[in-house]
Amino acid sequence: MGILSTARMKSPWLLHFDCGSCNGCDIEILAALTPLYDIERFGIVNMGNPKHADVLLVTGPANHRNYRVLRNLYDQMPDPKGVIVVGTCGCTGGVFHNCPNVLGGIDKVIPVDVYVPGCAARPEAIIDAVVLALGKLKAYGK
Amino acid sequence: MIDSLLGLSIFFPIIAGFICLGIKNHKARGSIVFLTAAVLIISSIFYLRQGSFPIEHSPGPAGDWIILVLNYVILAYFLFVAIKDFAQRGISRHNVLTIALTLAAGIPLAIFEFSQAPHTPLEVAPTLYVDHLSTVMCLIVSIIGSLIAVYAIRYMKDHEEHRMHLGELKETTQPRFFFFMLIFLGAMNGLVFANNLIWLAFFWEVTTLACYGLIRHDETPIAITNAFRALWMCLIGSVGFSLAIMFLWNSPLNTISLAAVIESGAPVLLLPIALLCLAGLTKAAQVPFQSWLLGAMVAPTPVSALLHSSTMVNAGVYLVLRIAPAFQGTHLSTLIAIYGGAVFLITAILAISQSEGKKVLAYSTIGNLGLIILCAGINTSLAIAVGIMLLIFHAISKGLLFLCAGAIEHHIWSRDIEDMEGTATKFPVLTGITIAAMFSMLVAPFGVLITKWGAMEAATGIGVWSTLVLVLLMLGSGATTVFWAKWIGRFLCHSPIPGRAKREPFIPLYHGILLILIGCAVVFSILIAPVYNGVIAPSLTEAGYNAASAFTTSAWFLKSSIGIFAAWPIFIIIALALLIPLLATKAKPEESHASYMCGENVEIGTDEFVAVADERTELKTGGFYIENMLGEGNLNRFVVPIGVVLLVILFVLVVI
Amino acid sequence: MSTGWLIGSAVIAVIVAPLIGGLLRGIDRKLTAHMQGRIGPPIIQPFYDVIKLLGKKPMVAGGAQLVFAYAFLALIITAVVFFALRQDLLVVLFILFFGSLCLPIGALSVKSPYSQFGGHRELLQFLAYEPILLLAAIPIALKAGGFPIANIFEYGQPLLPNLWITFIALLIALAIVMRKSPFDISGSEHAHQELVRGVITEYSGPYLALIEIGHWYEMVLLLSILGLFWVVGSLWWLSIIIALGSWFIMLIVDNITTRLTWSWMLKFAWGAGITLVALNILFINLGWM
Repeated sequence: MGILSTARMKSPWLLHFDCGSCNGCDIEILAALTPLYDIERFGIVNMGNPKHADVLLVTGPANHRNYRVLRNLYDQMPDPKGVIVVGTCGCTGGVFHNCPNVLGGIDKVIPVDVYVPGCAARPEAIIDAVVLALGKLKAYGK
Repeated sequence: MIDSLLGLSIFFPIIAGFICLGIKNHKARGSIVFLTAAVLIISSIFYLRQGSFPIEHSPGPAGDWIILVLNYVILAYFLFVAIKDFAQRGISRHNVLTIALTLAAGIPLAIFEFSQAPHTPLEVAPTLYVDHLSTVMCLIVSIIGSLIAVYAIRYMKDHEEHRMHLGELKETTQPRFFFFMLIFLGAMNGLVFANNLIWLAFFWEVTTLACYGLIRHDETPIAITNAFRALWMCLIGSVGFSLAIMFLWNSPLNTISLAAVIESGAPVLLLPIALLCLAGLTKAAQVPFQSWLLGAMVAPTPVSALLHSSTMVNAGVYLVLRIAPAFQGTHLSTLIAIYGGAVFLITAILAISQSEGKKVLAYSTIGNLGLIILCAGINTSLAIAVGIMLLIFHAISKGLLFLCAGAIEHHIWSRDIEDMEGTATKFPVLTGITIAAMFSMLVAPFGVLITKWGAMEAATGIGVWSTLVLVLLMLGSGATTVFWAKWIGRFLCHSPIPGRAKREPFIPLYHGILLILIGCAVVFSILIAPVYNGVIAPSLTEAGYNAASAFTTSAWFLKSSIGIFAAWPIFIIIALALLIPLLATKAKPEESHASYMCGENVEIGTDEFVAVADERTELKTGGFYIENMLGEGNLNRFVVPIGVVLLVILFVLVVI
Repeated sequence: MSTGWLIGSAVIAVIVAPLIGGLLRGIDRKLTAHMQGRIGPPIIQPFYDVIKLLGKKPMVAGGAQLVFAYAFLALIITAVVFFALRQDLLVVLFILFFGSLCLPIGALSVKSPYSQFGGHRELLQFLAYEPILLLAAIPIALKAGGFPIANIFEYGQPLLPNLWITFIALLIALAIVMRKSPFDISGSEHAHQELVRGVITEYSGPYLALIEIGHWYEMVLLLSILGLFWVVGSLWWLSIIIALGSWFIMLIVDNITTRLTWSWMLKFAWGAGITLVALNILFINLGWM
């Protein structure tokens, strides 16, 4: 329905998970919450809880230890949900590609909707990615 | 008619108790208990149909002789057990105090009866006095007490099997148990109908005897110690009775008829009144005497339900409520109100720190009794009405809660609240009744909440001291809510299960009795207006208060001069708000998900998560008890002195 | 007021209260953002949030959760209805407290570490504000001659000049109920996280929406109780100013303080809050106010 998809678009709540990243992309994500970029004006709030979140923001590559946690968090998010991978490490493995403990990008573990390349990705790119993910949320159920 | 009713209420259970003492067969004994229960319940209901109250009855000098002799027999028995304990276990505070207090109770009484009284035994007209307030108490004792006795049939069977299985017990001691229980029921009925203070003191001592025998039942060292503690603390009350009888006889009033004492209310009588109040306070385990009630929790649960929540401790507050007209408008009254409020608050805070279920219930009992005493202290018609209401509703709910705790204990074999985690999935029916019973102590629209509302309204506008009373009342009310909600949360805490929990097998003598009692709690709460008009308003009028300035009822609402409680609309709305979600919603299996453990859950259906070095670790949850701040260890060094100081001020005020 | 009017006002209250509550939450976030040098979300953002939550797939961590989420909302609405029907103020408060209790009991019914912590802290929070609210009903009743809210209207005089001490204590209670710093100890609004989400950690989707709507009703009810302090007389519109002014003070306090401990909260609420109301009652009883 119109109002439900509008509401889904206007109120995406985030869960931010660091999956082995160097923290560079995480700093950029948190910077987006600061008054300079202020993503709360789009209704985006960083919830710490998968059960309250619509969009999962992941950084860093998936490895043999943390893929289970990632899968668990993804399963605990109620539908409709979207996954955004921030940073080259999450997209393909980045500089850690082919390391013995690394599985590769996040899409080896959970379905990803939007990829944000960059090392580290810029806050403007992250905001663009969230807007793209909103389109998927809006189209849920259609 | 009235003499046969009185005989049935008082003497039938005593005779049945003696018969039970000799019966070894479980089923035969059970039938005697059933028969007694039926006789008591039916006869108590017949009191209501007796036409105009008050009714007076005097059995005559034969009765007076029997009571006089038996009184000394009981006191001698107390001396005997104390000396035997002294011989067996050496000198201790408890047996020394027991001997001292028995003598202190017996000697003044003997001096009075054999030298001061004009003839022995002293005849007082009337000996027994039936009015609405005593009928209400008789109904409580007979109905709730009988239900508890019937419950005890099954409970004691399981209890003894468990103890024999553990090797603690060799042969059955149930005959002795039911003997004490049944004579207790008869003695309580005698107590509430007694008008001659000597008869009252006698029945009071029989209840002390039963209390001692029942606490001691399991014959473990701690049970024996706690039984003696209860004995000497209750004996303080008997001392109070003996001294009060002497003072009253030697006062200008020259009577030991309770009705005459209450009606006169002259200030010269305040000292004996204070002594009678002291008797009531020790029986009701108020601070600083609360340790005997807490210690009594080691006894089997029907004992706790019967003696220590719904009947015997009620005798204490019943006495204070009954003599309330005699100290109306005095400083004593104000101090009693403050004292009751202090007990209410202190016990509520201490209860938060307890993790043993029965101790929480014990503290809650003492607190609610303190609330009744607060109402007696405020001493307006509204307050006394509220006090009588609380007497009724607390007896039902607390008796029910103790029985529930006993049934749960016999399913999980533990009394600790932490072991009761998740019983909602293991025993849904039992847990459901228990949670409903806790809600009946806690929330609108149940009777106990109506009385809290009433007490708050009664305490408003009675003068400068009402400020302190109200502060104690509100703080205590908040604290009681916390420990009940915490406990309810522990019952319900479980990891997700698919679908609904399976119902456990139905045991008539457990679940049946519990269902009857919770039904009573619900029905009487909705019907509070007819209950008020039927028994409480007449009690007020008989005691000399103006019933109309307490509550008026219209459309079955309760209206006071400053407030209104729409009992049944609130009930319907709240029932809908809770029952519709309960019955109509069901989590579908695919909606059931594990709880959040930072993504380290192992899988749904287990409580495990992956911890250090990838080890599967079970999640353990527990409650808050805040023992270092609110526990007995920290607070008791203040609590007992506060109680002693308040009582000392009470007596000083009286003497001045 | 005639029965018809009262019932009509109750119906209006039930429909309008969440709208006002949600709007106030939205303006709250906007003003907070501006105080922090940001722009902030649109003021109807809470409505978007709730509608989105209602459309999420339900996820339950325990059956009792559902019952208590519904009961929370239903009971708070009941309290609002009774308030609009001008019933006994103590009864309104007791129904409100029953509703507020459903939230921590529902949280405690889930075997989750954060939910348990949050539930217990919520109970301690309840312990802090409940006595203040209950005690505050007493001076109101002493002045208005009775506990029914209808009496306040019949009394005809504003309450604030004599009861301003109680009003200050009620501000403390309001801060705790609204879960504003320094009292955001058990699961508060979005920007305040404590132990994941504290008492509402395990609620999600539609049930979280129910709780959010319940909080709106609760806030409007509390503000209405504050508005009672000047609801009669020719300056009756002051009641709205008082209510909104208190709400604004909460925002400022929220933004200039930080979260403190639960033991401090209890000591402060019982110390300052209860003492203030007790003093007011004492002064009324002595005839000084």
